[in-house]
Amino acid sequence: MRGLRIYAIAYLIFLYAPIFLLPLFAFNDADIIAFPLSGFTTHWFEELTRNAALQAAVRNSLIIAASTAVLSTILGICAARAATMADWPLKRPMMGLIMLPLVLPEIIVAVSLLVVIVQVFGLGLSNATIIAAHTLICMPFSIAVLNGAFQNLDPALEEAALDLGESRWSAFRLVILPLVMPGIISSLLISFTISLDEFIIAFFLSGANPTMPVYIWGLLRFPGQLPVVMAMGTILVALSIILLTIAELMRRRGLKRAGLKDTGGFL
Amino acid sequence: MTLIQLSGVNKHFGDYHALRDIDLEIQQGEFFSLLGPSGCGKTTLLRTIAGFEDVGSGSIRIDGRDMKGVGPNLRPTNMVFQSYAIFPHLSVAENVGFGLRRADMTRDEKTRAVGEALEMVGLGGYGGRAANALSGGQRQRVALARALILKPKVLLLDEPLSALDKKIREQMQVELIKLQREVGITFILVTHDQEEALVMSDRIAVMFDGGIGQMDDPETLYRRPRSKRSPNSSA
Amino acid sequence: MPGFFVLLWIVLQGIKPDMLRGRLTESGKRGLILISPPFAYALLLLAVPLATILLFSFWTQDYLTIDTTFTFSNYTEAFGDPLYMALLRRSLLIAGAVTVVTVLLAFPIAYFVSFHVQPSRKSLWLFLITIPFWTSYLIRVFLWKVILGYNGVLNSSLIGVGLIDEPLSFILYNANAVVITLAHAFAPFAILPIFVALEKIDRSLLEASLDLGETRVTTFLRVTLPLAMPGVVAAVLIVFIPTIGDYVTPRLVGGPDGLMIANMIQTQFLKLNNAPMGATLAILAMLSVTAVSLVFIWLNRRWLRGPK
Repeated sequence: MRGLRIYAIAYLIFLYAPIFLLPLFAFNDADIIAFPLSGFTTHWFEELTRNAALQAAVRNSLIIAASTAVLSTILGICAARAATMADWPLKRPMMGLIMLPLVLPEIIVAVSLLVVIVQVFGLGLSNATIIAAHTLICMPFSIAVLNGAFQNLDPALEEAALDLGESRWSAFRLVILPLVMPGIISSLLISFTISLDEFIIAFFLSGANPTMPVYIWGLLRFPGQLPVVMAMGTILVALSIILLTIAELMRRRGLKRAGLKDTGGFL
Repeated sequence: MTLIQLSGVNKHFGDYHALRDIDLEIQQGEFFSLLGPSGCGKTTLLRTIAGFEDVGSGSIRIDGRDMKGVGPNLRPTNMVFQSYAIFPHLSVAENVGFGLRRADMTRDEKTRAVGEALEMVGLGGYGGRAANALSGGQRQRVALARALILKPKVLLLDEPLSALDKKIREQMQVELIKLQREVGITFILVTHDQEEALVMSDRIAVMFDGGIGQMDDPETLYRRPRSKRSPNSSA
Repeated sequence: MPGFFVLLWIVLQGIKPDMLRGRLTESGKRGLILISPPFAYALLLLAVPLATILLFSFWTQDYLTIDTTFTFSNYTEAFGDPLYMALLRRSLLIAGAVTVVTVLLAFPIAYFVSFHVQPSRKSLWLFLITIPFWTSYLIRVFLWKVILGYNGVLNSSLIGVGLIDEPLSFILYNANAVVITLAHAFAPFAILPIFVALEKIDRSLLEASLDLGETRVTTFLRVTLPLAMPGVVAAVLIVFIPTIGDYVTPRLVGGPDGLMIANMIQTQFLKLNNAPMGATLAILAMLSVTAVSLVFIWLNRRWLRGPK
């Protein structure tokens, strides 16, 4: 239907419009973010390279995101594999608890962890606390991705490997792991991206070293810094898009490898 | 010579009594079939022989050895699965040679064995193909080659022909019989198709509701069915 | 918190008599072993902290020391203070508005991709729709601040084109801005569940309806929409529940009139050193969200069962 298609395109424009502003104003030679445009410049990007505090924040974010990705994926593999097994008592409630962060507002997670870590245990805040919290919220996403990968596996494949002489572990390593590898990579990339962009938990649980989003938050107070923020935003968004495109390509390749049909996304 | 001996085998899934007091002896070199409708327990029985299911009570002995506590990777049996379970990420040759990974053979010996196995099932030259690009009938042959290359004492086949077209099915029936004669090992086949069982087997065990009803050679079974549930009766 | 009540509901759902009485199969045993690491993790870092928050709401804090005598004083203070109640009410209203706008806008898109896009292209569309969601939330909210500002993108382009003479001022630093920004941020959250539900509809049901004399419109109303309802309900909950607790958007674009409960919770924790009060507000927010959600689900069930 014509009308629907126009609506769909308009909707996509609505979704993407703000993001397109990023490169537009990141290269704009003006101090304020408004039309009309003034001229091309890369000096906002140059300012980024000179900013030591920013670079420290970036490094921090990368470390946290990488750790989160690995931890969340490993736990996700355990949970997704467990989901394909037969039932055990309280299986549904257990899975429910693990997936709960998907529907909880992040502020609740942030606040409750803050209370427990600081008030109850008297521990300090650091990168480790952020990694722990991020892993908690990324785990459900990892599981969602990996569930798709594991459910596409014919259970007879593992049995065949056993029948042909392999142990449980070598059957996992030689047959299951290669077949779910695209899902694993997707999980890593998605968790990495979520952690990289996450603000509120990092804001509450930051120690002395801010993450990138927390640093950007600090910059937002200074109107003069806005174009620099645009430059940073451009890089961040470009990076996220690249990572996610790779994740999607991996997912498709995984389906092709197993000879299955595409049912549309991580659903 | 009795190769497989089941005595008083029982199995429960929760409250469901899947196998009731199974007593069975299968001879070396026999083509033995388990025949019955869905839900009768025939696949469960096959899987307990293979080692994928534990038995609740009773014993299974293969070649005199008690199989209690012996996992499927250590039993002298190999299985052709109903879905064939061909590893999609490996080539045909890698599939067939999968079980040889820990065998004490040189690379060349393994390659030669794989080639011979493929010839035996009529897929000579297919080694380099991607496994997930094959037709159903071809996959089944790969599954056969993969199992037989390990020279098991018993080959277990779980409804191997049910997914195939009628024409190919009849063709495969003949080939399986030939194969079994050629290789000389014991075949245990599970099927719900009575014509199939009558055509291929040396002996058939008719199963119903977890137990064995009648066990005889095809001709006897056909002419003198002892119960309503045997072949050639209206059930 | 909804966490607690959702958990309770899930537990009640999950306990089946035969499961507790029956034996654990081999496979089930392996499953239990496999689930223990992630489950223990969630228990330690989610269940325990949530329970702690619940506990804290019944305690009081004096500067830096916590008085652990059990008391309802936080709750009486919260209910008694018009500021807190107004804030809660506003948060619920804003979250409600965001949900309505988002779901209404999302349904046509989900319908379009499910019914009017070739199967081979569907995952591409879904991918395009979800990408903006995966980029930094903070950046996106900030971009809306930039767009809606007095000297911002929208105003400068409208003035430049000549549509208005004076910049619009009602679009930033109030509740409207919050609604627009959140509707943009949560769009994919709403589209996906509706899409999944629409995909599940057997197309032959629609053909049967047309065959029996219905028009396309009445088929949509009598067949498609009711069958898509589970997806719509999921979309409503997926948008409504997290929106209540949003902190960033009200802070950046809400101005004084657009602040929501999460901002007050943060204030209690980090500025006023009143963790118990913060905890209380968090729990009240979650209770109201749970209540609204349950009412919505119940209403929905009645509506679906109604015309018989």
